[in-house]
Amino acid sequence: MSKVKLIPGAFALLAALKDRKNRISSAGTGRAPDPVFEMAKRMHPDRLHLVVAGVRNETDTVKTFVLKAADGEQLPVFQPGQYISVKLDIDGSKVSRAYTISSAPYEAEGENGIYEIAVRQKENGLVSNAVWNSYQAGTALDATGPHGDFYWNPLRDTKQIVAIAGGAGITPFRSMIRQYAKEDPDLSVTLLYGCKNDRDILFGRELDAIIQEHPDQFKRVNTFESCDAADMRRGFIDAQFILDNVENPESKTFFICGPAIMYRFLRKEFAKIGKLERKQMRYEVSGTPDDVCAYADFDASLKGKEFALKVIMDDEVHELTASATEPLLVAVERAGLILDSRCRSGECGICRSKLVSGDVFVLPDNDGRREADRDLGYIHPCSTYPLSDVVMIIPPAGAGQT
Amino acid sequence: MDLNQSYDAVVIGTGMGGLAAGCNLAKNGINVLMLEQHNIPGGVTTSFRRGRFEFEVSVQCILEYGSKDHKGPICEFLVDDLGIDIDFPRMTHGRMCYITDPNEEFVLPLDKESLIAFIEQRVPGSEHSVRAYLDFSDEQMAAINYINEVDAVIKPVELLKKHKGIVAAAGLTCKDVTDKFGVPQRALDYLNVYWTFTGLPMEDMSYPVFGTIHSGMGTEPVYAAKKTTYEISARMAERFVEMGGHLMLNTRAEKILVENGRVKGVVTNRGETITTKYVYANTLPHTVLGKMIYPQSEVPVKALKALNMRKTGTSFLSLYMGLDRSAEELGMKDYMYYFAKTNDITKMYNGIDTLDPNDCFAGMCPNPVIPNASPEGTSILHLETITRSDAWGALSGKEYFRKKHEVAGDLIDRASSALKFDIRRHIEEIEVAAPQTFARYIGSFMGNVYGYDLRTFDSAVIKAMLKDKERFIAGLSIVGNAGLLTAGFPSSMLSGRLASIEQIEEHAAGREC
Repeated sequence: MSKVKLIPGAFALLAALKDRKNRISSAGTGRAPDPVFEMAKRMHPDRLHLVVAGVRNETDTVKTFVLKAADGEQLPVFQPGQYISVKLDIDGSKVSRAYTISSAPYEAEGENGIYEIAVRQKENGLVSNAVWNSYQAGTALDATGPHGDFYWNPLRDTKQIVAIAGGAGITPFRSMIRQYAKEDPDLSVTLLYGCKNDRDILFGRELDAIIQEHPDQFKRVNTFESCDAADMRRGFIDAQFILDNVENPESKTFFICGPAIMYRFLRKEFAKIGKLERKQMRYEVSGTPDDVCAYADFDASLKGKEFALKVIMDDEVHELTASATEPLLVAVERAGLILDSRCRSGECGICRSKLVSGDVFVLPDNDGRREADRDLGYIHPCSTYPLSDVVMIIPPAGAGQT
Repeated sequence: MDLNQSYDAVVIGTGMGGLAAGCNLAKNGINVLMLEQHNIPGGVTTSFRRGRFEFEVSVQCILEYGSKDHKGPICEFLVDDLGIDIDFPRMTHGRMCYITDPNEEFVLPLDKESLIAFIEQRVPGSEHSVRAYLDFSDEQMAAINYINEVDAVIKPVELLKKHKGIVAAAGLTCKDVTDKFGVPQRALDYLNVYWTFTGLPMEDMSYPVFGTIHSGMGTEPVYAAKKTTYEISARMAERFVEMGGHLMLNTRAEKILVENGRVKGVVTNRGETITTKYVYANTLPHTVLGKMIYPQSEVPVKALKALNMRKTGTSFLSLYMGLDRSAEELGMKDYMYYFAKTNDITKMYNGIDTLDPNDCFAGMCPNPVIPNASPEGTSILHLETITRSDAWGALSGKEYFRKKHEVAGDLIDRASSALKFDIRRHIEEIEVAAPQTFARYIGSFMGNVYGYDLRTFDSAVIKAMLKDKERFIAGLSIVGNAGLLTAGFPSSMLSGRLASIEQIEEHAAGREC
């Protein structure tokens, strides 16, 4: 055995230096293109500039808004089930709302591509009323690109999908059914759809037309809170209803979208069915709950209570008031400050802020914080409620990366 | 806050290099602004959440940390200099390897003596040469630590006096060195399974850095990050602010203003202009020189040539899975994994240019070392393969989604057959990252993660020797994976610390700022 000796090694080093010199002198002076970065930016732009291309009435309380790119650019590709976060300025409040794209990815392709969102008008709903009142053909709006994890994954999910929708929670499934009918014949969807009554059914006629064309691929069954006709099913989506309409549920993936109360109910019903693995049930995040007092761990006696909220942003201090029953994000928005947010369900972490002092309640459903962030006192204000006076530091607005 | 103001230094990007530079500057009383485009610090030294899981993104193990009695440079910097003391569990088991041809399964021991004995048992008569090779690798580690400590441009004569070994090896490839020591090929088949740590075949790979990997894995203790390496990033960022540094998240540096060959400021995505004479860019030179320097006429031709002589480095196809059974139930006893079809590294390397499934890939399951890395009754499995980005850049958005899941599916199936359980049946959460994903989150050129190939003409020693000569713009330092010490977690961090020293010395001497 020999070893590595200094003299020949030094010569090798000199040769490498010479090699470097030669390589530099013979290299070009151009600037290399970067198609990977360009594509990443197209898929995840800082901001989407959109314009309302049309409005459709779906039911008494739901309208579809058709959106297209304001600048004639192509819209980013997305997966059926993903959402965009629409940015609004309502009387000085800078707010955002996540709306699932209810149209199909193929409809977003090309120069005339569109996204559709369906917006239900809620009584006293700040954002839904603003959208209803202000969006008309030609209205310009900003949004994030498509986001969210509520979509079918070829490596994780079965090809037979059971979609469970409550009310406006049907939007991701409209996108899926339209897309799969056009481009993915391998994926089948059984839609179990719970509505208030038959006037509340969304996209009924258009979905039936697709189902008629693809009877082996799609199926829709409705159940209603109240109905008159004898042939219509009344009651919640429960274990029996699922078993009546889904063969071999243990070999299917369930996608579930609706209000949090429906999720709580369904979790118990799935347990009754048995034989189901947790991974088979995929719940979409459901935004800010209507009433945080419904959570067992939340002290309902705080209802109506207000606390002082000190927000530090770019070294400036803002003294605000926060209600115990509203997420801290809402108090910040009401003050006209911009705190970027996206999912508004605790999951995505875009609104991550530092809690300097104060007690808070974090919604247990989707506490999406990283462990180190929890240790260091970070919170996601979209799903965090004040239990005392609070001081927090928020990041500057206008995310450089979405 | 009026952002149109001036700072002694601006750090662009909070990867390990940026965080280390920023922390070291702030600690030494320099007024620093750190810009991060994302809403959390860390670059790829980070984690992300899906469902009930938190996934480590990129760093598999922590090297060069040393022990309480014999501190390594990472420990000295984090604990002694910055006061950040994180409890890292020590690994005792080595890398579990599954080779298809010849069919072989083994755990490559971590400890040097066990490693030598392990190889001797399989390749009788190899002990002497393997030991000599590993001893020589320890010399490389000592020399690299010396380069870290001297805090200045490396003078060949100094290096010669103290660390002859690294000078002797600086121009050599790994193959040159193992040939010299006469290490038998069958022994190399075991030693070289760490090639995925650097991603070049042995006849091209500059030896000293690969030697430090062997030394780091065998002679020094190896640690895992209990709460993912995001804890390191998050704590460094907190410490930076405590020490008086100014951290701006959600803020992307768009331009580095240069005048007469000297840095004079930075412009952000919101249009603010910050005046500074020193910029530490935790970004690939391809991005800095190709896109950020303003005006572009300030980029010297020689700098562009130095850039273009390099092949842009490697990215990853990385898949993160939350499984719905415990590691114990699934039979995963090890933390680090290596899966390869053959021992022919050159052939496997040549496959990374295409979108076809790779012949080899790495794996990590944190649960055997960190039991609560995921909720009770679950486990995490991370599979990762090296890929070059060019072929990915040619895909359409639609093809991209399909292709990355196809390649990921191949890795899952091969890992399933090696690990002897059906992984797909247990995937509760999954995320697949491709070059585009890295480009999206860290903005790196072509989604590169590893910086540039570590070929002999671009080795750490040569870069250290030419540090001043090849600093094409005064006041601008590149830190991180393309920094002085080349890619990888410890090197990235130390590159930031090293780059900041000159300004700190000038500051102390009262010459600047």
